[in-house]
Amino acid sequence: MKTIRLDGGDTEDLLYVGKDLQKPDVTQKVTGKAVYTDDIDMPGLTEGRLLHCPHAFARVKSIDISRAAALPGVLAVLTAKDAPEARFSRSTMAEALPSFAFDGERQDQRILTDICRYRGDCVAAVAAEDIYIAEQALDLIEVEYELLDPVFDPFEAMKPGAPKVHDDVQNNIAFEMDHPFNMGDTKKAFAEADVVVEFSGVNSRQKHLHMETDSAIAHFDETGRLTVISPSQGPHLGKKHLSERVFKDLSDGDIRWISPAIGGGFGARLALGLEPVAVLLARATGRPVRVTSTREEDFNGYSSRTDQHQKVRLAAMKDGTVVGIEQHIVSDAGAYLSHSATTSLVNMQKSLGLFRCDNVFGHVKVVYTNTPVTAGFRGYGNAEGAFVLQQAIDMLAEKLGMDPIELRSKNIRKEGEQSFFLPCKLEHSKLQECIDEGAKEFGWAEKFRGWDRPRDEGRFKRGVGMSILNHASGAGGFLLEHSSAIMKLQADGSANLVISPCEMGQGILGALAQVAAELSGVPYERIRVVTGDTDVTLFDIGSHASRSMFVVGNAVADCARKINAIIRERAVPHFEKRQIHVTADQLVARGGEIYPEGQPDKAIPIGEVAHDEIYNFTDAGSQISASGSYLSNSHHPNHQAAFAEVEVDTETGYVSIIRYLAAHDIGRTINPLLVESQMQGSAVQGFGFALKEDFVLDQKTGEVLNDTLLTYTAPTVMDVPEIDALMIEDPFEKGPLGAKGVGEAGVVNPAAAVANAIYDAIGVRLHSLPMSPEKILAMLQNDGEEHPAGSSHVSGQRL
Amino acid sequence: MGRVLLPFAYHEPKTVAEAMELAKRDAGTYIMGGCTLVPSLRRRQRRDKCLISLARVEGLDDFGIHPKSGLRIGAKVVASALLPNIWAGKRFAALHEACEQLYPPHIGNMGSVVGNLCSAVPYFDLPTAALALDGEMHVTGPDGDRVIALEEFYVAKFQTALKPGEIVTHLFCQPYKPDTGSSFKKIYRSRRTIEDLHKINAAAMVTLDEERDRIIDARVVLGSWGHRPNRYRAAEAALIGNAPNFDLFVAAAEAVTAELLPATDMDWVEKTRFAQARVLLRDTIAQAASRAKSRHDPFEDATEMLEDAR
Ligand SMILES: Cc1cc2nc3c(=O)[nH]c(=O)nc-3n(C[C@H](O)[C@H](O)[C@H](O)COP(=O)(O)OP(=O)(O)OC[C@H]3O[C@@H](n4cnc5c(N)ncnc54)[C@H](O)[C@@H]3O)c2cc1C
Repeated sequence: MKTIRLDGGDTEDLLYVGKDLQKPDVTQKVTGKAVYTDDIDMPGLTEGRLLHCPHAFARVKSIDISRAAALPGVLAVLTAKDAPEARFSRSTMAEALPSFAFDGERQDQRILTDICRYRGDCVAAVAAEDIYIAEQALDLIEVEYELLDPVFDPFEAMKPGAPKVHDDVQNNIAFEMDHPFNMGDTKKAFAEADVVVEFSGVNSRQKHLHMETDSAIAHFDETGRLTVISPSQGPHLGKKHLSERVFKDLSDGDIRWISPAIGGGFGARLALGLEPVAVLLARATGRPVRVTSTREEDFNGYSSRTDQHQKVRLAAMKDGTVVGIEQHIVSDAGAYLSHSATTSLVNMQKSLGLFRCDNVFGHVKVVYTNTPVTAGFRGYGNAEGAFVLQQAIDMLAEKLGMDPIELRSKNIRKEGEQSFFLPCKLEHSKLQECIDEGAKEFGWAEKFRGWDRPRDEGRFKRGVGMSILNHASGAGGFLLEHSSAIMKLQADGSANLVISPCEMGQGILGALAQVAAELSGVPYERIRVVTGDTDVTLFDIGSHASRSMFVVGNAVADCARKINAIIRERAVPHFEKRQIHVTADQLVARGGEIYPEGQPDKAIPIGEVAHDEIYNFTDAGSQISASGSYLSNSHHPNHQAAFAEVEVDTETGYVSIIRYLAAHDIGRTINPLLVESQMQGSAVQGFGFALKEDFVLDQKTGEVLNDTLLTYTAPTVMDVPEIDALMIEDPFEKGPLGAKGVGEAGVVNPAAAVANAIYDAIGVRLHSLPMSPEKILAMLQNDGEEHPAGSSHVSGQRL
Repeated sequence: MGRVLLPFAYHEPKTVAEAMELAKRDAGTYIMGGCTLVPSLRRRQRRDKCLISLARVEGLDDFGIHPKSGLRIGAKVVASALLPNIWAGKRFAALHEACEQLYPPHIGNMGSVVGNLCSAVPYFDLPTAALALDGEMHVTGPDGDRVIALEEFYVAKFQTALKPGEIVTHLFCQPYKPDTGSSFKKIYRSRRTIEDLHKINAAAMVTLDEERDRIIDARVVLGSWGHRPNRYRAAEAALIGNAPNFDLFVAAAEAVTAELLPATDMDWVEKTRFAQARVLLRDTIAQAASRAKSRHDPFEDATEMLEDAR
């Protein structure tokens, strides 16, 4: 990874920030000692399993549980009639919005159902002494189904007379909305523009592929209080959702939610997974219950990206000024709404907000089908949108005869202008620098050979493409973006840092400890991070939206500064004792020591002060502690520009990525190693999205055709090129030590940049993801003839 | 849908006789790495109540690969064991390449070569490669020993010619004839229907005459198309007697695809499937022929050098 520091950064003297420090949980992870939900044992723990419907659409006519219930070791067999009538959405996101948001987000799911809306819907739940008994009991449940005609395609589902996935929903349209920031008059703008382009396409249902499949433990203690243990990305919201939407007899304080080590999230854990059914079984049995899912079950019903069918139109004047943008989205929610409406809205927000433009129109429809439930996924709509929008932008550049860089540079929002989240100004953006420095590093000027160049001769053809993005560092002003942190000093001068974000492998705990160490004066190695227990941590909406570094980081910074001040203040008498007369303001607390400014030789250890504050028999005694908070009221976007070079085998359709470079507008890098890992990991996930990952349903049966890692091929380290990450550093005054978010952005550009590079190589534009060999070949055999707009359909099933 | 495994009895016999005895007594199923068996148990495609591990059975770990004596791979040998073996790489390249390209690669540390062949899963790669090398399965069973050519080994999807209780002790491939090369390639695709398969694979073996300018023997195999890999004799016949060149390889590939049936009723899917099969076959044969021609073979090189020195 290479860093370009725009302001030089010469005057800085930082001890921890900007260094490759080791993550606090790394030893447990690499020695296999980290405790995941599945590793937990507790007295009386029972195991639960679910019976999934084998049909795409069916009504349960009758269900006989008597044989299952009679199996020795079975403790409870529950069906729809035992589950609360209350309906809820898997997504917990709306809990971070004002309550009117629930009007839009249909609460449409029950824990157990008697109308099965997809293959995999949950019909019954069993708890037993061990998992094998539970599994055997499933086979003894006798269900008689009445088969209904299913519908798998969102466009078919909207037609009059199509099967109704939910009885109370007309034309299967679960959600419909205009973009909240529509403005101007696009009709007029398009009519008056010099150049107009249109492009349509759809993304696939990429799977999160978190290594740990879903699992949850629920346990009521002797006082009736509930503890939930599960790999949640946002346990505080989970708690609110569970009590307000599912078990309405519980209140917020009745639930303690613990997130132990989490085997990856990528957005899948911003939802209620198996927790509600675990609670139901724990209630029925009076014992702790763990419910577990297999990889195949995860594939068949847990969650994936939402496939968003999009049509984008752009209008521009001859000089390249974009004067109109339109985006129409039809999203396939699957059988229940979950995150599909919010990801579609975020897609519009990011896609329509990338360019400065006065005439903007966006519209989204979210449609039910009898397919598995979709969900939030890293990038949250942005990656889905970029694939279509960035190709449209390149088409416009071609029509105008402009370099793709020039067209983008001309239209992106600049600092001081409105941001994509209109109520707020764009306070900080180094997107232009990302484009310029990235292009230089990539060698764009030499590699991009213009729009009219002849294609390469021979079987293998090369091309280059680029893409840019804006992404949020938390959704301030929109979601409930506040967070708090607590820090307390032990008698030896070490500290506990209590924070909320969940550690899913991203390394956020370490990065936050680096901020705490830098600003509090307690050394990094001596900070122990505490997280993952709602009884201990303060409210926070969870790790998503690239928010943890920015929002939680600011709370940590606030807290650490307070600790630093307290340490200095309490150190004054210690210097007095040594005949050194100073005020707190004249002291520096740093790297575990306190000394008068400019006199590090006079240092005393922080431990001395911390110790005497605790073991103090006078009335002044109190442990050094502080809490800090932060409320973010804007999205404070981070940006990225990416460049790809590909080689297409025109005989097999195979695409190899030869080189990939992404330049990121990060503000400041807190931990370069972690940032580089995020850049690499997200790019690889993006390459899978671009070229390989395909969630395919049989269009007759609704069966998931690739529900194992044998048939769902994600890229391995051998499928990807060297990935160059370029950090454009320019500390942002509102970020903690200047930092902005980085976790999600990297997954947005790859598919878009690769699509543009494929076009540059072979003159063919692909309308659906993944851009698999067979689709490329089919397009080439079509002599590159364009497919009609809007014809790209469902999960790569058709072109 | 893959679910939690149900309990089963599990034995770890030490001898072939003991294994066969247990198999008979408990109607047991043999298991090696379990890479095929366990997922199918989880999917309830099978419900074996008794598994007999071959992992501790003595005498099943043959591992002999030599240009003069052929390839002998015992039942316990995992696929990745072939990778560092230079003779496997040079002389049995098709099988070596198939092992090398297992995806994801760590499957090769657990899954055995023989287990892969015995799975009779239509889209596995090793059967395609081994068939091109004229592989034969050496079997021992309650009724004595026998040898089954791979050609006769695959009866139906998931079904081999093995009789109850029979154990494959090893896979054997004859030593190459002089001036022979082989090759394996595959391409991944998306499945479209339940009956569809998610890849195509091909393997070929080509033998040249002494002057190395005419093909005198050939094997052309296509897998992941239908329920088993098949040799295509029309394509082989088209190659034999001719000088190896690009047009000939194209013609041979066409001879294969002319015999194939589509797997779905989707036009564009089939068009690309056939196109990819053609390219795959053409390139696989071309590579095998090029290997035969270049005789890129350290053993021969060493022998020649010795002779030159004399
Ligand atoms: C994630 C994944 C990816 C894979 N990718 C590929 C790939 O890319 N290409 C490919 O070709 N394969 C692939 N495979 C298949 C894998 O290579 C085989 O499953 C494995 O090699 C089988 O060997 P095993 O020892 O595990 O067999 P087991 O599963 O133990 O046995 C398989 C079958 O053979 C029988 N059997 C085993 N040994 C004997 C014997 N000595 N005598 C008689 N019967 C026997 C068993 O009874 C069983 O029916 C993949 C598998 C997985 C799980």
